[in-house]
Amino acid sequence: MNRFVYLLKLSFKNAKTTPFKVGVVWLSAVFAILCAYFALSLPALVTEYFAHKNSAQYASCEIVIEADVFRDANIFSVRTLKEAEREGTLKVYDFLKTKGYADVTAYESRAVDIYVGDYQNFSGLYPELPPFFAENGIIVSNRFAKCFDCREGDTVTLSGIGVQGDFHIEKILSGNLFYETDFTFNVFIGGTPANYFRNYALVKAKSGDGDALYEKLKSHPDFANALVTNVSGISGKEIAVKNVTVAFSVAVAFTLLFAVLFTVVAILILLKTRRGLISSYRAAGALRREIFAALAFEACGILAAALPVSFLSALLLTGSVRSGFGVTGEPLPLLWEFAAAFLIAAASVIGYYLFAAFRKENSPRGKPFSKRRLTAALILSGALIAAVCLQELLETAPFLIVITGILIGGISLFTDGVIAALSKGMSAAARRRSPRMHLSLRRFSNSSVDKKLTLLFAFAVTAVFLLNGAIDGIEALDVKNIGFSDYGIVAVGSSEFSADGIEELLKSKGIETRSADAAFVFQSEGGNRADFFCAIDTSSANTDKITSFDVHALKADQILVGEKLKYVDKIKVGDAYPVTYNGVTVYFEVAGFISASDSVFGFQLLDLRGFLEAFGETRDYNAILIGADPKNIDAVRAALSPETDLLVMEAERIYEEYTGDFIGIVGLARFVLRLLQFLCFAALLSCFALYRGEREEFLRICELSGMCRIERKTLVLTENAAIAIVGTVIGLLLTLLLNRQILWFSILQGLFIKMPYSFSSYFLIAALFAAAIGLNAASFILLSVKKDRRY
Amino acid sequence: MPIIECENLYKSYGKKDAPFILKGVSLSVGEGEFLVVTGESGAGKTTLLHCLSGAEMPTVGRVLFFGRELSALKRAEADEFCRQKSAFVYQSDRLSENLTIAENILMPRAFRGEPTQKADALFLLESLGMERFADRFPNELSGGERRRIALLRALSVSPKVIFADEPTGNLDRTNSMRVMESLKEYNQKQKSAVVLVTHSEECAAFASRRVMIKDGMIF
Repeated sequence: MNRFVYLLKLSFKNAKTTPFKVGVVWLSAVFAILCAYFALSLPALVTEYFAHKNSAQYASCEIVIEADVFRDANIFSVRTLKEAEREGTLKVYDFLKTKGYADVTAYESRAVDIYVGDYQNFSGLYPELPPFFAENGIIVSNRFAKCFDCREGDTVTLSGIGVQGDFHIEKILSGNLFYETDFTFNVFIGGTPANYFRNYALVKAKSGDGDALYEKLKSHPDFANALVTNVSGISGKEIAVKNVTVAFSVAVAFTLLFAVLFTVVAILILLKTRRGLISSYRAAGALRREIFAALAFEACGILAAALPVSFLSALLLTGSVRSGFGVTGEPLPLLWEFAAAFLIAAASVIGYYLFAAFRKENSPRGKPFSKRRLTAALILSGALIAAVCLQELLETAPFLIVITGILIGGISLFTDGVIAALSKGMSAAARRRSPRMHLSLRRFSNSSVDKKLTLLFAFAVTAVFLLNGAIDGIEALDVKNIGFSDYGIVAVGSSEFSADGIEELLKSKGIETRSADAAFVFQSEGGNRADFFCAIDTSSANTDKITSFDVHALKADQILVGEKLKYVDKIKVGDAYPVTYNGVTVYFEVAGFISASDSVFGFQLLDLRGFLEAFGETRDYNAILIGADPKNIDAVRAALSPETDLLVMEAERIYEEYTGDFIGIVGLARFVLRLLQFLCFAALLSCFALYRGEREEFLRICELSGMCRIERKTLVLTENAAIAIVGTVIGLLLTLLLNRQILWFSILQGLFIKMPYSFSSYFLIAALFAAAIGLNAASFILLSVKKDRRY
Repeated sequence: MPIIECENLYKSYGKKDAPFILKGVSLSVGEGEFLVVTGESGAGKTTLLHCLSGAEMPTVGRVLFFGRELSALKRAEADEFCRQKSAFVYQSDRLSENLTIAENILMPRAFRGEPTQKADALFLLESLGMERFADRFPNELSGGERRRIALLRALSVSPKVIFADEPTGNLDRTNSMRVMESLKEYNQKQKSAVVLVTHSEECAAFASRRVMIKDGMIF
């Protein structure tokens, strides 16, 4: 028989007869592959997600003019999507007013948006548009084309108010309008009553043509001023998106590092269990290269078996992630992504088998605590501190990668030294008290497997806690950047209103508003009134200025105010509240309060109708209560007039069900991070399982030495406790260090600077760790009292 | 005619200034000779065995193995050459727990690229009256049985020289004698050399020549 065929056969036999050992390595390999896969593919997935969900809709659309021609009440909307363009956007508003649209009401829902609308009589207000469309043709979405059964080149008659006449269709675009990615300039017109904001006829959208149209429109006398507001840059929303993505990528990258370390340590431990196998090969006259080949075959076999499992897992996960969050595009991971992930895992597994095969059998074992290691650890720690200082100065991301590498290397060495020192100290202390404990701790001190396992335990603690921190951080990021956390909400129901008036007033009082976090508008029943939610900063900086809070509104029937204002202004339900509009102050009755802190949703509701439809709501409402504390709902409902059609949408429901951009990405990030947490636990348990195998020999020696069962039980429990305690302490230290590193990185990226922690979730994590330790201890106890001739 | 000769062997492990375990050992092993090396624990017996067998290269000195100087050969070449001529029996049986007894016995043949017929294993097992164990796994055998299987595994390739490192360690007297008798029988029938290290006087009695090693030097 060919000797390599024989080696293959041997590997197969080992795999067949040692399923347990193969299984745990398998798990480690799958773990590494999955982690690598996620680390590689998810940033791309996130990018793709926003390429579809955000960029098309927001990033490239510099100015959007919308006109709904199928409703009595038309909204003409001019938006620029750059924070810096706020002033310019206001110019657009001014421009439109100077054009004679004196009746339009403008309000600002985000700093970057201005909606201009005339809810009374829109007809004929935009006479310049029909000739413009007639000259250039229109581009419609395929939904529009299907709706009106038209094709490119056809002429359609638009009979909406404001835009009337026959227009030829220049182009029909495929796909959902919002998912087109190459818009540079859009003019929307159209829509149906049934799908109010979504079905637009796209007048001009395509990239190349859009540029030309942009120039044409720019040269148009009536729109010249409007288009001057066009600038490059990114919107606040995009910044937030980037923040989430970066935070997510950092968390996953750290997890990948730990995944590799997990795998390496797991394989090192496994190799201990392979010693007997290697020695039998040697006794049978196998050469080193043959031993290497046998082990390499085995490693390849494990990986080959892991590949389909990981592939299926990845397929399942990515499929569910993509479908769950509405990401379009390629449903499978890219081939190179998967190949890279597989190569990483393969390199780590085969590399360490190689290491074992070529290791000298009789090489003297390293001392548990050598001065050389300690020196190296100290040097690396010094380098780390220096590097961190430099990082603060240089503030460059590539540098951070180097820092992280040094950090991990330094920590590994340093931890090794710390473990040895701690265990040596504990061992010495135990000597006087308990010989058994002393024996256990001596082994803990001298056993490389014990140290590796402790290190592994520390990594597990670190990874799990880091991931938890990342999850909390991402959740906080969501609220912090786009939520209402520090903002009172003013709701004006069933009224025409003016937000700019509110803002002017607040500005005059030196009160900072954060309109980027505010609010949305929707058409109330009848279409000639609008309800309005506006967020106003009620943080401490503004508290004392809000005492004379005033609201501009024209015909406010009722008002709901933020709960914080209740305490700041001592407002009570039923109080007369002064509202001034165009010099006229109207007093109205405060209808109720909204708990601002419960508003966890934070996306920009540009598409309110779509938002409502996502919840199966097809009606119009003249009041919507979002994020209210359940206890407030009844109070608010009671406070409103009976005829008010109030829709109560609980924050949690919105958060979970509405697949808006931010909800999507936050959900995606949390899903992946939770999965990685689970895998960390799985890897930890698998390593304990490997360790258990390694311990059989030691327990046999103990039994041969005359130890009774109870003594062996005490022995393994002591050692187990030492591993858990030392590992947890080191893991927590590592967590603190790495958290600091993440915070630095976050600050560099302009992210939040506070890493919040949820006590309840950490309690859960601690409980899970305790369960893992308990499970392991139970397994060891069973092993120690096992009556088996094999050990 | 010596088949193995070593001259002025020095061996140390680790750093350059580490103490020598072998200190100027010169020794030869003749064809068909049963050489027993005795000495106390730590005297350097196993190290000498490893150097003579080519498992390790001496720090200083040379080893002529069937007329070829091992240090002059490439490592892989030396390993292959030594494997073709010799076999090892260790203090522990080092049987692969995942293979049957027959498969364990045939493992050296497989590594040499030779045919691995089960009948060959049965033939060898019959010589010790252990053919009933052919399809069993090592953990079903007693310590003495396992040790004899380990010896059969070494003999399965008909080596010109057998290196045995305390092959009767941890065995009772009866089993020790069985192992030694099997080794002696093979030595006499096949005219193969045996180099055995032990600290047991009973085992040493089987030798055709005895040397003693103390503090890394031959006496």
